[in-house]
Amino acid sequence: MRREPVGCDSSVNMAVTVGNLRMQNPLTVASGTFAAGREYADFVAIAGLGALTTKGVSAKPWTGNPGKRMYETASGLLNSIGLQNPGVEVFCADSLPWLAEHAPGLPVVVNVVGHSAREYVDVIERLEDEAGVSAYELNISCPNLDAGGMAFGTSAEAAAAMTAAARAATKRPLLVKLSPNVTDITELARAVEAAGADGLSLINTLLGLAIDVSTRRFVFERRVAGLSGPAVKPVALRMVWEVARAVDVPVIGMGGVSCGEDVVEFLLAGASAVAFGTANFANPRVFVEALAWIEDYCRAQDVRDVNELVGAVREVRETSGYAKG
Amino acid sequence: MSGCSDNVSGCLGSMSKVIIPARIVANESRGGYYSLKVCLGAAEGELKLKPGQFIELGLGQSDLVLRRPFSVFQAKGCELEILYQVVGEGTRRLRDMSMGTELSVMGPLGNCWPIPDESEAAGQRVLLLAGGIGAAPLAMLAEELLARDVRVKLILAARGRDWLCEYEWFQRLLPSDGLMVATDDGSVGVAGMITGPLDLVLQRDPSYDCAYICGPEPMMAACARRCNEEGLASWVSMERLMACGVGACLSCVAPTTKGLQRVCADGPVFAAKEVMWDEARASRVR
Repeated sequence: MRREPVGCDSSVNMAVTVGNLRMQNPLTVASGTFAAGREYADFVAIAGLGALTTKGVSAKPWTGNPGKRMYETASGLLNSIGLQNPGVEVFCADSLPWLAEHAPGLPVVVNVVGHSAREYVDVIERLEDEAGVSAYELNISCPNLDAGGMAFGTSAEAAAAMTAAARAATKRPLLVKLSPNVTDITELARAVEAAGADGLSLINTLLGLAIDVSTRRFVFERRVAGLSGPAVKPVALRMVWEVARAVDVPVIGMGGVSCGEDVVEFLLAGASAVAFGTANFANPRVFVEALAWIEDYCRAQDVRDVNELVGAVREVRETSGYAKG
Repeated sequence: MSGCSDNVSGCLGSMSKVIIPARIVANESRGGYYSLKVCLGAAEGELKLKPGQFIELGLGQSDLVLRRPFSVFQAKGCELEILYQVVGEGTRRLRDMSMGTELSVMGPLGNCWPIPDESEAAGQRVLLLAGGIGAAPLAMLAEELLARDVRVKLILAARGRDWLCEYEWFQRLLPSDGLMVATDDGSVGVAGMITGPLDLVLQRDPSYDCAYICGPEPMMAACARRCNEEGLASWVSMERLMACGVGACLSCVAPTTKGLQRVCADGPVFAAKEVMWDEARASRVR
């Protein structure tokens, strides 16, 4: 059968749905890399995102970690920010009105953090009546905290309990962001799915370490820090692929995503949406460039709907013949 | 006391920020430092910098995921000049780049040095205190102040002759009584640290309008303390490791009396009296 020539007017459906969260395209940003959009509005039309995922919001202001907070590694980045944020009241007073004015209609996913289950629920309860919030992303995977964060995300029981508590507090789509610092991420994924999560975000940063040999000191005051960037992409892709096969809820893939080709890889591995993280720092326009690339890719591949790509990776032995003999 | 504006953030948001391709037109050693000149390409907007603002330079190296923040020494037309020291992998690679290499400039970033209004600038007297390559962000400031008939006295300090940043350039710019030099090894000017000549200047005449300071953090802290003791308002340009450069990631915060401030977006210029120097030590770059 003769294929239609690829033309400029051959439109590709880019809209996706994650749980009940409708996105005009599958692209979002990883929490903590994009603040709440304002800082990047000088460089890029943030309303072009499928959704904006905010930096972690806590019930009370958090000052974050002391000492150095960032250290570049080969194709990556270690951070120990410690979720510094002014708290949910300032978020409601400053960030939400700014987003409503400058990016009306852009779905806002609020990343929620706390030291205890009570604190997570406090944030959700405070935000539940705010019109500008579209969904929550429960951050039970930040490695840069002594209490809370990853402590909830490395035990299936604790993760499920936290998810259930948050589930009871909201009718909005509830995403849970998973840590890669576990033996079997699918166990965690199944536990939070059973506890009521509408979708899963993965991965958060990998636990890493850096030492300054000239001083023989740890670079970071907390010693360990979170690794992100292209260095972690193959690990993230593997985990997205594993989790997408293990659960029925949609997955938002992230971890070293740097271009349109990376996005398509995550979609093929089973992600329904994909987030740019560390890549935003070098190129705030990366999601715009990626979107154009993905549309071109879809046309070239005769894909009319980006959703066709989700989980569409082909099995190793699907085609045979040439490999034999 | 001070005719210098109290409002450091007066220049924030007053002009658009751009990402512009930039081609290397010169990259050469200057004593202990290097000078990089780039020619800015076409972009949607024009890069307009105020003295004290900085840029984030994209080096086009796939294994280095971050841009590098640099002060701007000169910006004339489409040409931008930065001065740098080789301190790590990024600057090592930058040093080895040849003419014609394509880079990317993001800016202008951060706030700027507060400059007295034109109506009241003429006749004011200010001190510029530069340690090592900290002289770079003071160059455009000096030009701007001179254009407003402000009387500028610069104390240029470094560990030795090769590290006196743009000494000849400042000699050409400033009258002979507008430039003092201090070197740790005594190879040029007064032997010893910058606080020696600074104390002399302040003893002789403490009635300056304000001081602008840039250099290593201990040097800035010491100069700021001297200025403060004489009731002289001073401004410092801070440095921290940065990831985003636009205020989003919170990597580069410094402790101030107003709480943690983002050096990239709330600074890099701060009122020296607001910086909590002892607490800042733990997050210093070096």
